Amino acid sequence: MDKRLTRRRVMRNGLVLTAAVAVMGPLSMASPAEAGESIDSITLALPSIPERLFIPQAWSTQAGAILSLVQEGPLTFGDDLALQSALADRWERVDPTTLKYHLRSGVKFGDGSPLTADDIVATFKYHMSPGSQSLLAAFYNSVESVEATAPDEVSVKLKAPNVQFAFTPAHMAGFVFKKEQLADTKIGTAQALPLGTGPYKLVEFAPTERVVLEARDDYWGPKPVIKKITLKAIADRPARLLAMQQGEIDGAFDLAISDIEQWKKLENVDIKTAPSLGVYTLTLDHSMPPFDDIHVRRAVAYSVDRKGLVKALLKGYGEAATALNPPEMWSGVLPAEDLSAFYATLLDHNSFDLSKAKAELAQSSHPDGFDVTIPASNSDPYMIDIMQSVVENLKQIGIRASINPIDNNAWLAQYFQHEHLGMQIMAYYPDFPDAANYPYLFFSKDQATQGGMNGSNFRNDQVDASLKIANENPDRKKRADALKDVFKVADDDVAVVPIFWPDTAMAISSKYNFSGYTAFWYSVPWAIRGFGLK
Amino acid sequence: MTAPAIGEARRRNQPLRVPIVILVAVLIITAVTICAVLGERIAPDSPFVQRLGVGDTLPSPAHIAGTDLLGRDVLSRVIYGARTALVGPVVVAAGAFAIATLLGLLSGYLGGLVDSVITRWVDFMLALPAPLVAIVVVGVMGGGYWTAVLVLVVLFIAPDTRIVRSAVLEQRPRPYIDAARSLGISKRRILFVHILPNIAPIILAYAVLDFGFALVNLAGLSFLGLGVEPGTPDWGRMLFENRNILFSNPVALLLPAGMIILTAVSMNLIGDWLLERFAK
Repeated sequence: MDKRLTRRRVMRNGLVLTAAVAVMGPLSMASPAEAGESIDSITLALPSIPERLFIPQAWSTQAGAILSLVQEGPLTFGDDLALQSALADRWERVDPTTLKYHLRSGVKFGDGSPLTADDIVATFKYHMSPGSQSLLAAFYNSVESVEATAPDEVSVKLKAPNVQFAFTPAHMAGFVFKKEQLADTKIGTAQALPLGTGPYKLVEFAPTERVVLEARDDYWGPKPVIKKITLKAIADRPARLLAMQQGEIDGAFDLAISDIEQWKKLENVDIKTAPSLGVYTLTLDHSMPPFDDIHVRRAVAYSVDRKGLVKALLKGYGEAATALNPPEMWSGVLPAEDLSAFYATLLDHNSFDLSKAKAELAQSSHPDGFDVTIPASNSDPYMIDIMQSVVENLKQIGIRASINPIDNNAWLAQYFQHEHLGMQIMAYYPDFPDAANYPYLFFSKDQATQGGMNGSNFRNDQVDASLKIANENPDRKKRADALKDVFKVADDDVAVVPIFWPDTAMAISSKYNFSGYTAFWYSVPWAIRGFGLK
Repeated sequence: MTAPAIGEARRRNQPLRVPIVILVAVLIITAVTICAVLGERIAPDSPFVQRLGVGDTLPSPAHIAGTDLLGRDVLSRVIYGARTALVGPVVVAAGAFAIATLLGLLSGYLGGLVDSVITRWVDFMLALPAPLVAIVVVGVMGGGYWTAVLVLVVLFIAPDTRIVRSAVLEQRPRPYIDAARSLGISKRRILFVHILPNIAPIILAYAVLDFGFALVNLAGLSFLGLGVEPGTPDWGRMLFENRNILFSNPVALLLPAGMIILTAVSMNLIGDWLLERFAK
């Protein structure tokens, strides 16, 4: 994920979270591991191992995959992606702008020292401090203050109501450090491995090569089934497959979906997949010709063979997108049956029909077509292939499109530069599941600026007003109605052209069970989420 | 033109015996050339038509070499790919030798400061790791087929200049040059009317070898994503795009790879044979 666009990258570019805090779902303990016999040791492959294991300065899927076993936040995500208690055994919304976290007793860091409210306060303040230059600082932009209001209680005061802040203590931005260690400038290096309250502690770290973790006997939660975990970097996709085939590794994270069929052919390997909650979409700059013309935008929308791309590129491990939000993002806001009915109303612009596309282009101010070049990251597993298909279809209706494959960083930089956007392809993977997340990023006026995510330069006052309701109001019905209004307006105006929602996948030796693989596996202690011997 | 000095008369009197391996190489290059010129007519399908519902499949009667990830006919793409496989290397070889011939003639015949400057420049260029320079320069310039061709032309000039200069140095002390000088013939005429025709066979032989090197280099740059635009039927690009379907349709990878090898080896064999023949 470090090569893809994620919320963290957006945050880095100045995203300011707005709106209010929600009343959360039922509080519960983290899922117990399905422990059977213990496992002495396993070795798993990651595409890379970070140079430093310090989330505020090394924010990536790979860092999360390692440190989610070592560190925890006050909250976590359950297997259903709902918020669950972790270091805080309960938490409450005192008023629309105040949250209180009541700490679990008896929690210890890896060095045996007890967790205190001061550690959580120090962690949150570290991210908020401009001097720390934390990559996760923007997750705390809506925070007015944080303080220990009792030895086992932390209070967070928000500047304004903000539904989305509730997720911050559950993902990597909420991982708690020992207060004293935050002052150590070497933290995250092999000389100062970060301590945490998680089920494992780091015992070896070879930057960019491997890490070794050992289970803690004094962990407050379920006893880890695996005693020792080695995570090693194997960047090359075929090399990872061969390592699995030769028994060098017991599994691999972050598989490209298009490789799944090859992995399935290996003996004694199970493939775990889950909806990634990510989306691939085209953005079309509404502020400039030719995409300021609704007929041009509709022509493009009709030219994308979503279902075909899901079949060809994702081999069925994903869904054709009818909107930005994958269904799972609506969890807790709109029931599945209501969502299906709502999405059915958006289907017209999302069907593949080149005759309709030609008709729309003929009605536009560019009936003879035009030239357009679409930049695409050459390290993304799907972008170039998607664009090859789209470009060929556009050529058939008279739009002379070409692809400019560029380095991932250059691609991101030009997107956020927000100049001469034209048509862009964007891949986005969220850090938390909230229905307002995508529409805020892609449809709000605030994001239609340099550093913003709204590559379509879509501006609509009605949408902004509805987004404000959805961001500030914890009431599910009001949020659902507001967000449906947003999506309806955006769909009518072809604000973006969603393509597909890909799954995420990993491989694991068939000796093992692993039932807890989810979209946010790298933000939760995955090794105690249903991991065990069969 | 001065009478040829490299055993031309002897060669003329000998019957042309072409080894079978050279004949096969010529046949291969001829076939590739036909594909490049008549691609539309002989390809069984359009190389651009996608069948997303089909995706990557193994060879079948409908698609003799199978299909790629987007369901495009691999054989048709290989046939169309002959165009970029031929055009770019021809431009590289011709372009590089056009400039190198001029520089080599001047350097080898004039000597002195001109020779010194050109030779030092050649030494400098030869000290550069050409493949890495090509990757970096083409990458920085944003890639593209013709950018890659241009960069290769520049990189090939130096070694070609050294070859031409050596050939000219071999010709300069010969009596026919002395005779031309004594008759007061201009330097330009000596260079282009007397020396050049005598070294032309050498240039042709090395240009053929350049073609082979350029083909492999361009395919390498395309494999790295620095050559043709995605979607273009190109052997190097096909290697890059189809490497992830190695297990579902290996032919999609092996066929373009095989064509690169066959074409490059054929050209090298022809070049070597020409060189050997002209050097006799």
